Amino acid sequence: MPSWMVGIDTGGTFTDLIAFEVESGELQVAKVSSDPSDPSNAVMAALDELFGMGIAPADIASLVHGTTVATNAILEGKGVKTGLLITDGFRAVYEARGWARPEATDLIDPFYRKPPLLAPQSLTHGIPGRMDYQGAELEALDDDAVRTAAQALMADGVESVAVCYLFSFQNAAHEQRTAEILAEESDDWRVSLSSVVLPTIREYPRQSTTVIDAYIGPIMQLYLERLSDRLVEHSVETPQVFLMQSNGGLMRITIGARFPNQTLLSGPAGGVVAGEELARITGQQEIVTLDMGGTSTDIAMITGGRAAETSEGKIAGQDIGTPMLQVRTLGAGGGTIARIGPDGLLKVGPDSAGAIPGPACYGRGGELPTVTDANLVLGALASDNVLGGRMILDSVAAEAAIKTHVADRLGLTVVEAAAGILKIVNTNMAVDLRLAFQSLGEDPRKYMLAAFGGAGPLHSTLLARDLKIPKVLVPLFPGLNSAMGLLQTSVRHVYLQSSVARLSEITPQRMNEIFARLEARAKEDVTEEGFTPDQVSIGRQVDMRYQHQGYQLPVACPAGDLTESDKPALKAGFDDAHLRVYGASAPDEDAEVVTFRVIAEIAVPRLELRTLADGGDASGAQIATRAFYDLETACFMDAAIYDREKLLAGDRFDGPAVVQQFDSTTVVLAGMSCRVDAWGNLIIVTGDAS
Amino acid sequence: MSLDPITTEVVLSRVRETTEAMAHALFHSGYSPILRESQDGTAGLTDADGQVIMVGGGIQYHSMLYTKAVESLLAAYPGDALREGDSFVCNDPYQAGNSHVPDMVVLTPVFYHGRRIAFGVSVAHKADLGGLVPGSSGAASREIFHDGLRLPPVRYWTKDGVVPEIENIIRTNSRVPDVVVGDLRGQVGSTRLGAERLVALSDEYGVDTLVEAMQSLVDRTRTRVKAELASWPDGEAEAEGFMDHDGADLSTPVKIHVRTIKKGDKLIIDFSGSDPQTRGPINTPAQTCKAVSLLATIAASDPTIPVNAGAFDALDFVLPDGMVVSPTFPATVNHYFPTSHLAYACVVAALGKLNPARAVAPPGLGNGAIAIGYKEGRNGKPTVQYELMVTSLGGTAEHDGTPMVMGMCHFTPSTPVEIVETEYPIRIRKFDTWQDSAGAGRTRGGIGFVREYELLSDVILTARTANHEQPGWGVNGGEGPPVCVTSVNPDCPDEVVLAALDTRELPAGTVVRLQQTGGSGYGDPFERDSARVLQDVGDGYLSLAAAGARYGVVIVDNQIDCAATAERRKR
Repeated sequence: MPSWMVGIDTGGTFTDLIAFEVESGELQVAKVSSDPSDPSNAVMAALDELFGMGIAPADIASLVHGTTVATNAILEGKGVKTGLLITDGFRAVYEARGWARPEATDLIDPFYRKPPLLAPQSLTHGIPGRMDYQGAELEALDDDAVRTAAQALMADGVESVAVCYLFSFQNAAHEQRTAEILAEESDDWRVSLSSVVLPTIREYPRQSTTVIDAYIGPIMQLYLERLSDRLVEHSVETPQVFLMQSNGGLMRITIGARFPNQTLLSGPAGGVVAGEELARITGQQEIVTLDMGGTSTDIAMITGGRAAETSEGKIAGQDIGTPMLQVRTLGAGGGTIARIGPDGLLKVGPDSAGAIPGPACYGRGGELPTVTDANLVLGALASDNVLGGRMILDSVAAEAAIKTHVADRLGLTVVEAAAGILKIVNTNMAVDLRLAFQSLGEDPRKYMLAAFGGAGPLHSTLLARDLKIPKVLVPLFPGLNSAMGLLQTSVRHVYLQSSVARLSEITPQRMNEIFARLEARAKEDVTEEGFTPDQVSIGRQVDMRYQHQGYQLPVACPAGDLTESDKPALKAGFDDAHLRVYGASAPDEDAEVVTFRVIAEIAVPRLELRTLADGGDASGAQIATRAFYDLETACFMDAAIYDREKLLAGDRFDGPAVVQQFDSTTVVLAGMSCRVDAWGNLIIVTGDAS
Repeated sequence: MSLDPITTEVVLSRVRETTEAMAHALFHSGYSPILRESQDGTAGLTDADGQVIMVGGGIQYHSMLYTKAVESLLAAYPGDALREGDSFVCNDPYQAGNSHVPDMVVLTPVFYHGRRIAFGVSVAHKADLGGLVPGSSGAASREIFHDGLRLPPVRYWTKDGVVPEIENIIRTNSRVPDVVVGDLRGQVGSTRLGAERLVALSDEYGVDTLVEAMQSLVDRTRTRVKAELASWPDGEAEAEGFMDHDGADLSTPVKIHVRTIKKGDKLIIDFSGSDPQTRGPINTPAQTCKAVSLLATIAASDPTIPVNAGAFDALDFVLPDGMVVSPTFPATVNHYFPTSHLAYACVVAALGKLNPARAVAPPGLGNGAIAIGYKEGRNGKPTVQYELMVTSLGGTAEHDGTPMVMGMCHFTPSTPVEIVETEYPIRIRKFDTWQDSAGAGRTRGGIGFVREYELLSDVILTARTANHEQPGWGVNGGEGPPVCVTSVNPDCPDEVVLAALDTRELPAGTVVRLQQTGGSGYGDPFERDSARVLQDVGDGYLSLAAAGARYGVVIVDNQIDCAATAERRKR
């Protein structure tokens, strides 16, 4: 019986499906329009296409879903009516949003606004009761105040309640008692405790994160129930149905509603995971991924085979401390618009013509020049090779748009203007790439650039040369990477607990207690997911800092019972990390432990990339020669045009060359060489291997 | 201009990357909560003569102070006395351009093959540099000598590393030497990173191209500010406001007056109607006054214009020596912050009359800080807790003012309660919204807040707050918010209401409450949508009484009484 793994990624415009048969390695894809009013419609429509290909529902062994339901609820302000219980006297915590770091003009524009409160003050109640900084009770919880607040919130029609008290990460008793009372008053609402959602120090990010959990939790629950029902209706009965999480791991759909925050980066996470898989198969542990689509570019760093994480995320301006993969997004895509700025200089982005009206060359009404128009004029794109020839690009319209809006205004030729558009969009991406390297203290010369998306492979070789990244990798299906990543990861849960103390002073018992508590939670959750505790592999980390510092770095921590003798290794690990990221360390100074972390992972079946047949001679794949404008020498040169589908493992060719395929185009610059590896990846040596 | 617009844009993007990298290094390597939580610092670039090119994140008005620091450095180290690999420190406001003594300036000259092409500069507030009180900004200060250690421009770093003699002087003069030196070294690292990056950019694009692109950025700002001014009708407008007192003579308010004259593409900003410099510490150095005026000009015109030296070329200042906004040596300036904020509010008010499309109600007056000196922190060492105290923005033609941000640069320096209590022997009893603290208007100001501390050990506390008596004002019929209040043991028989700027020795068990006001209102409050007034009551921002008295909205049982409201709103 065939056994299919299916990944379904809901995007803003399209819902992508990728299916992979475990034995034969057969691959099927489907693309349907997304349906924002009920995203499960598009999921089912995509599955229907799959069934139309002769695959039976019973043959689906596992299904992984990347969803934007929670993200959209925040973007559109369509979460549920949410109440908030806080320590009495601290209404300014949420209002101030003490993380607020307005950027660019917001910093000095008196019209600047902070994002809206997801739980308004009218639904916020202060509750007497207080813990001190070590978790000792200073004032008992006022049960009656909780009860009164609960009744008021019920009268207000609240569906969800967030609870965030000061120092609950040290002592959760008041929040737990509050949950009991709330449950006694009503079983109609969902309760989010900050001591469960994000038990870490700093009340504002913890509170903001907890409110988000409350605000989107019921929406996710409704969606997941509906989706599960519809899967069963369609006879998809495998219990192996998972959601992609912001941390790059999976969780069983049955517990998804409990961790709604973990779905906020569900989409971009897939692409990053695919990058991790490429790191694994190629043995290149240091990879930066660049996923360039129509409207934006996502950049993620993979170090030691693992994607970098952040605990300072932002979704539509709302601060979220739930650890998630670190993805930098900038407004640079194929549809990004070029225009003359108020300072008289050429600007590219951040706004985009999107799919509609789209670039001028799409002929769908777009009149403004875009990055895609520039690539067409300069010969990087062919007018007849988009989506396998299903779409024809209009070079005349592209030239006219560039001429009118850029070239004539700057006194340049169309070619010079088009080259300018590419130089500027490339510079913008290069700047963000460099800042991404700097923030982790990493050296680009140790990295490989993995290019994804329709436009990533067009721009990556030049970016790599600019940053002195020695190699570029273009996977076999650059446009399907997010969906592919859904099938290339394991179940993963991350548990945090802050407890601030000097490393020299914290007792090993205390550390063991905290880890034991977090590991117990991990085992409970995986049991609820239907796994057995012995399937779980547990990793531990301690986030540390030097005294007085505000930023901490994670350090791996050994398993088992910790003793005093484990501390020097922890300290040394931290010194090393600090030296790497900030360029200095202080081995003689004591460090502080801030947050403990447990990472629970369970392996599940995953897509193993197939190898291609051996070739060795690329000449059979060359289909044409075309004039291609080389930005570095500022002149047109003849580039060999290759058909990606005809390239086989071991094939080699030199730039200048352009590789065309269904949904993407790769540029190999003069002086670079390209080979096809066993999995069909293009590996381009950028010529700066020094 | 010979450099083409594409190369210029590309090179300027790289310069922007450089300043962002500098700011990242500054805020991530610093030790004190001042840098990491309050971001009370900046890092940026000037040209070879000190003309400001660009600044990375943080407090934007700092950047305009770089020029004076560079000029003083060049005077102190003429000819080729500046060497590659050097970094300098200075913090005398009369030489360095810093607003007050705790703001230390670090300067690193950038050389390319022996040619000086720029300076990497950083200004950052230090927790303590000696002086009369912990935090170095005491109310009793009467001359600059009371404000703590003042360094002229001195070499602090060479290609061989730190100059230990200088660092020892700094350590010896601070109550919290580890934190001060940690932050200072962070500043040095940030400016040296900037220098390295500029050298690399010179290698990549050519040094002349880099220098020309940076100059072009300044030129483009000048052109844009002038074009913006030219689009306003010619005219004159005035505004004035008051500080409660100078910190020495508590009975006499101190006036800041500004007259702005717009003609063609020029703007004259005339402060000559302001009061003379004061004996107490509220004076604001002239360069700070100019910097905040420039920010106000950009706020009142087009905030997308990059802030740099070019903006100054469109402005003429009338700022004779010896005024509260242009003091002469040896006047003390430690409490410059609320004064400069008041000057900003006055310029914004005046320019709003000249360019009504960008008119806004001013942010609440009374931006300041508190500094609490402990003999022992949680780690057993002497320590100083320093927190910025902000207000809220005023209403605009489009929306209510944004709550709880600094008026001149809109970030929210709010040190987490859980960090404060973990690091210092103190308890925060309240951080709450302050009902009826928003100036009423068709759009109201942002809501103010109350922050209340309970001391757990004996301390020396300086409340560097302001405007406890002199209120702000509304715009276009809007109302000002209430004044700020700082009190010791509030609601108790022994309650003491502090003057704006007050230093006290306080025993453990004392409660200190700061009430920081909201923003001002814009437009007639009686024109505010009554449903939004009802919402404000529901949100606790507004009392029922104030809804009736200030907005003419009568609310009964959580419902608007339409008839009574209509009657009340007839006036």
